[in-house]
Amino acid sequence: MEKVILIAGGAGQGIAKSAEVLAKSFTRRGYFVFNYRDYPSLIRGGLNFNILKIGIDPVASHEWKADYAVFLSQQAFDEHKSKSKLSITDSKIKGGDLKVDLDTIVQKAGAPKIAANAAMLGALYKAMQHDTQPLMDAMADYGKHADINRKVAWEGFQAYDGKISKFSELQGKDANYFVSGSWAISMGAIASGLDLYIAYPMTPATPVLHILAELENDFNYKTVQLENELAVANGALGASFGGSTVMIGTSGGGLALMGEAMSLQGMSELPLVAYLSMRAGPATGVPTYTGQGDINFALNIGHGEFSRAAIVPGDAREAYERTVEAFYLTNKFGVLSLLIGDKHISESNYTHASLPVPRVTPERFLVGATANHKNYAITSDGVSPRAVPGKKGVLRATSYEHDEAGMTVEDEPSIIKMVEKRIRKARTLEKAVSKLEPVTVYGEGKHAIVSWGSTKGAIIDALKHLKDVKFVQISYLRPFPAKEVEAALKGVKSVTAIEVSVTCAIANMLREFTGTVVDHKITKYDTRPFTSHEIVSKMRRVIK
Amino acid sequence: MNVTELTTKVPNTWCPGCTNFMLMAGVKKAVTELVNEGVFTKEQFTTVAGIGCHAKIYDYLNLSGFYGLHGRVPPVMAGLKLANPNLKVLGFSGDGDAFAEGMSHFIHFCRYNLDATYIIHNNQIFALTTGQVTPTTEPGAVTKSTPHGSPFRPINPITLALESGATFVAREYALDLPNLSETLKRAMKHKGASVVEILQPCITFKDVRDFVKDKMFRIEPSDLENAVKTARGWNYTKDDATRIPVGVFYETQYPTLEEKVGVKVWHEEFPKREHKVEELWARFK
Repeated sequence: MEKVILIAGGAGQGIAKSAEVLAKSFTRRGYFVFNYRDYPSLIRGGLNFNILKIGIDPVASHEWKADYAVFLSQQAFDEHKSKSKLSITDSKIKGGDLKVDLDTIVQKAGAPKIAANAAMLGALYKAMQHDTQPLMDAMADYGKHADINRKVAWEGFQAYDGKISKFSELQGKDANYFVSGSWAISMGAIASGLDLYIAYPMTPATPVLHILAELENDFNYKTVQLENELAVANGALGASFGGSTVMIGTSGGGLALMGEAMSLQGMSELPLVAYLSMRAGPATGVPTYTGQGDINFALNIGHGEFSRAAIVPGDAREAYERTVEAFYLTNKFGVLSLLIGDKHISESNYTHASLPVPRVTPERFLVGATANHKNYAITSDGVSPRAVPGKKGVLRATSYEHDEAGMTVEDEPSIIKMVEKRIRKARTLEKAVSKLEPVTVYGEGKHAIVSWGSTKGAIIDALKHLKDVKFVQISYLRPFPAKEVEAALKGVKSVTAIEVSVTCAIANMLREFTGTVVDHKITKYDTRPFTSHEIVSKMRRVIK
Repeated sequence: MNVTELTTKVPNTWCPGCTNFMLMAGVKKAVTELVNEGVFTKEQFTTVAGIGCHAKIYDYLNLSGFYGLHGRVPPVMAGLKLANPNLKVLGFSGDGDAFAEGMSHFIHFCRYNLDATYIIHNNQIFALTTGQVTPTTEPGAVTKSTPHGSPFRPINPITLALESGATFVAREYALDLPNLSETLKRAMKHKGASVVEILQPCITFKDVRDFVKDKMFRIEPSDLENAVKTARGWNYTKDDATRIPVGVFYETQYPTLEEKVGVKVWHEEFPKREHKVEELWARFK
């Protein structure tokens, strides 16, 4: 059983916060909630909305059709009224099924205007015939404003006199974790032993900057905002050379500026985790909306030939686990770890019933320096043990082609040796990644969906309504897990690639790395994420 | 420590007679003396180089180092110091590196008051790319990219450093070894962002040795306002009336970026971190 709730209003009306409080009042009772956040690039006014899908069983995506809609502004009502079976509006709004006189309630409670959304939460609780206690408990999140919000919520509950459709109330179930992708990535970085997060603000990577800045003293690391992305990426490599475990974060435009430093990573082999949260491009594009269209650019970033891990988690739980892997791989092998998400995964909240379990244990993989330690030692697996400067020896890191000690070379034999060392390292990385479950198959069927990243939730929810369809989720796009994908696609009748882009990069990758020519592509380029309904109806058309 | 311990076996590819040889001698002298005086250990010194003739110094100095990208010396210095504030970081850039490709980083380096020494080899020309105009080339200069005369006005790195918040600002001449090494030593001992511009004429593409030698005069440090005034005394042009101030323009104390951020030698203090991340996750229950 599921309920979909839409909460819409102007920026600055507390829409996002009230959606979170409402969600938590359910997840704490063992419900599953997916929370989608939609907002334009402005600070006050405009139109923001959240869509919550609340389920008794796991849910992993949102829908465009709601059971209830709460409207706090006329614009919100006018634009979204058709999305809901039942709309609850402020009495000032023209139209709507049910009115709540927010001005009077807020005035009576002696509350500030922004608390009006709490009255709507109270009204929703009555509409679902739920005891308000869990809501009141969740309102502790308002901190010192908790009590006034509770008062307003109670008034809203009293004021609602519309249709009631009972949504079964769960009892005695354990609380679930309700967490955003950005929080999961931040916690994964902390769990990995982060020393420095260096970034320049860019939506939708900015939440990680804010979260990690807030937590820095509790977990003994530092967050530093440098002057631009060039400084961020080059500075991060300097810090990595100095011995720190470092992550940087940005979106597509910022990554473009970091391109030269990504290449420097390839040559210097200094550990670095680069978090990319994609949004719709090209150029400034649609800053607060989502897309997967930067993937080819990201996978190929940096001039010259060098290996990298490109990790594409599909939800918050995976974001945490895969972040830990990103640090592990970069520390162990000195390869670039690109951790790639998008606005949808960064800013949506997911519900998980249990704690994530990383497949690897965080480690720095540093060796103590000796007088003659060489940071680019030629080894059979291509991985050179790394020491840091400061105490002993002469340690080097370089953008130039170099010998084992890091001294500049231009003669052919020296160049060949080092190029081949790096290529051996690429193979070592491939082997390591194949042990990290780079491909996951959900469901069974003769028809396969192949996708990656934030489309996972909608596809998983769609599988419940599709017969004879399985989902092959790819979590590493570099090194591309060709063998695992081939095994998953063996004997299938049709392959459908799904991506939030116009050119469907994953279809081309399947052909490039496995020879598979996909039968169908389901793409979306309105910069909004897929819902399960969209996938169900499109899949039914292609597999019939 | 003997100064020869700072020499590597790498063949030197600077032009024979290049003024960079003298510049490097000044650096070696300063470092050797500071090591012998017990101010720093040899291992604490870590160099950062950009790209250009100057950057070859990475290979010639037997010190730990990072051979970075063109223009990006200051951010690499910042990263090193944020990772390990105990390192004594020496940044090397040319005028193209610092003021063309890396201009914004130069300003922020001064503004951050990063505790590092930024040594800028200024020859007013792109030399390794065989002679093009840079942001410190005089107006009208005929170079390979400006055969009809440069249309640009030069910037003044000294006033820029002063206005941007550097806490030690000096100019020296590469061929005046005693003063060069003494000022470099002072700069390296200074806690905070120290900028030393070294006039280092390119003997192949822009040999102004005689001009510089003839026009320079020594100055003493002063307050910020007077330091700016003194620095404005030469705007990088070349005419008979030119007088080139050299020496320390300004020195002051201000908290460094590392102090303000509160960084540690992370990898030593936390060889392994044991975080109770479950407690963080519990917030989401």
